[in-house]
Amino acid sequence: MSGLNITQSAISDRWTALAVDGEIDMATVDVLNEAIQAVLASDSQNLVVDLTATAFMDSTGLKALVMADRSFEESGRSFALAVKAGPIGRLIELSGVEAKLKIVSALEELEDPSLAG
Amino acid sequence: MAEFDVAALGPKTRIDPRVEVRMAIFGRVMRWIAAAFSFAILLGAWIAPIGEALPEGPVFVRKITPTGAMGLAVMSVGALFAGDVRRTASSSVVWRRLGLVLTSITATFGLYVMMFFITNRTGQWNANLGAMPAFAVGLSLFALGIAVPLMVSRKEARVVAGQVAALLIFSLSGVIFLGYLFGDPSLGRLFQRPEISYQAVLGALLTALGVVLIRPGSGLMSTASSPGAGGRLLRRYGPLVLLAPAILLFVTEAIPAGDRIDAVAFVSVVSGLFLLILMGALVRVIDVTAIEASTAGAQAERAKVGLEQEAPLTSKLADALHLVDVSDGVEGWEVVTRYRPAHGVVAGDTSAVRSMPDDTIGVVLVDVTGHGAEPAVRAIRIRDLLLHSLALGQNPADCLGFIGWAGADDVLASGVVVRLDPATGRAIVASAGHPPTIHIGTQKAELIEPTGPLLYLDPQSVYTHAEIDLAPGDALVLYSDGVADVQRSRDGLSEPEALADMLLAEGGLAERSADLVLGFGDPDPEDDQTVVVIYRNS
Repeated sequence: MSGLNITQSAISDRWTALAVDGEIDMATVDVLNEAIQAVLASDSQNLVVDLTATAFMDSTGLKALVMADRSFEESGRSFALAVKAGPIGRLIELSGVEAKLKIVSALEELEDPSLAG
Repeated sequence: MAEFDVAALGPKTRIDPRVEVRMAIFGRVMRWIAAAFSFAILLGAWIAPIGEALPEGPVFVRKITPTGAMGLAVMSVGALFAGDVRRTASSSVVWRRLGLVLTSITATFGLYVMMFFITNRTGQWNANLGAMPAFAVGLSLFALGIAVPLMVSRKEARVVAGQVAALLIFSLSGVIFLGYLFGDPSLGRLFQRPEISYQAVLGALLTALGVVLIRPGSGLMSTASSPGAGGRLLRRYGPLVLLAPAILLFVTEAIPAGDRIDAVAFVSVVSGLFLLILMGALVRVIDVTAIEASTAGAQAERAKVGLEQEAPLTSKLADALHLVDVSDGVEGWEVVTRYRPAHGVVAGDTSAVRSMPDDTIGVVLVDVTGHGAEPAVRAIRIRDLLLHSLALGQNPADCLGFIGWAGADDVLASGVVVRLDPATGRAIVASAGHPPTIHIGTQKAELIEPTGPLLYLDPQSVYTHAEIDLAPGDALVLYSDGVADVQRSRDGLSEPEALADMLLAEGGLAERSADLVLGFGDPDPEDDQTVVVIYRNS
């Protein structure tokens, strides 16, 4: 079972990024949840979860992200996913979460004032 | 069905309340006895000569002095008041305060007696009151007089200090008393001349016992009130440990007799007390460990019983997860459902194939995120709602939209709904974020993509549907992502594509196809696997 490495970084004044490396599944989803909760609790930053280096994500991971989006929405902040074409992109596409969640293909897009928060 | 005894919770408290009550009652009785005895010796020593009738020790070294008797009487009454009239809303605090005042007076008097000897004054102290009490009487009065106010304190550390003082006097008095009992007068010389009297030492012994037991549930005594085996051991043998110095003294006494014995006696008494406290600490550790273990054991037992009780439920739940109810079969069609649970547990996969009132066949497959009974129950609920919508004649896409409208806070699910007309082979397929449904034709396989997002993602979600026609020899294959996941690939194809290719190449009748699909999945899956194959054979 693969582990999960999450790297937190500030990509702009308003956006914090969590880069997720590894496989998100039932065994590792708590790590992701904790990292998201830490950002949610710590400051007023918007959060982008960077899945561009993520190898695999099961439905528990998808659920964690959907729930995180709801939490950020409730606290008046923005939440986004960075997803590139590939397996994760296919999952995002099929699950239809694009209709609900902000999806970007690169973190740079979030620095565009017209898109940010 | 077997009956289960629900295991009791482990002990919540480190004190056995019944033991505490027994010890408290014993302490109260001892305080009354001590008070009565002190008054008796007071009468005997000073007020009336009837005291001569009181039992004397085997070796009567010295009669109690009237001041000593007075001090002990005041002390025991003070302990009685302070110890028994406390912390009850109904009883007056006046008595308790009086008790504390009396013990404080005796403590001061005891200190005075001790100072008298320490400053090496000898002889008559006051002609009117009689001879000065022995040093040991002073020590007893001082220590017990301090101990009583400490014992009724709310602070645990003070209670412990009070108990140590009272135990010290108990041990000391025990040594001297045993000395008298066994006829060794030199023990009575403990500390300083004049020797303490037989009556005084017995009075101090009884009072000390009464004082130690004022708070049987606190401080050192809480260990003795412990419900574990260690507490029992301490209650049974603790007094013996306290009296061990006396026994030790007999041995040392047998060798040389001399003034050194006082120092040896003191060291023995202190070491006895130290041993007792050490034993208490050890017992506490043993008992706490035992209590925690028994609590953990009880919890484990409850968990086990809980599992045993829930196992049949979970088993029934598993039976309810996948239904095939096509009345009397439908001519020209075969339906096969296969299910492989994840590591033997129920999870969120559920399916149903059912004849509808309008003679169509409804097929539903729902996968709720998560493992265990809860997602299984949710999945069954969603599946049945979808079936009901189908039965009411709704389009599969609208069935899914209706589920999303109902909303839920912490659920995410994918699902496929199919309405199949067995007469024409026309199937209406709607999919909520579910892995592509596979249509296996005779010449090619087709993946039917989701027609809308996951269920419960958004109450406003709108679903469309796909229409396909199943010719004889065609099959419609529904499966959960535990079987094939779009993110994983085989031979350069995504798993659903690879699965479709395999079925096209090797598939056949429904049974064979279903076996192939399940064979495609991981034989020891982390997520449960469900396959529904609808095959048209004519």
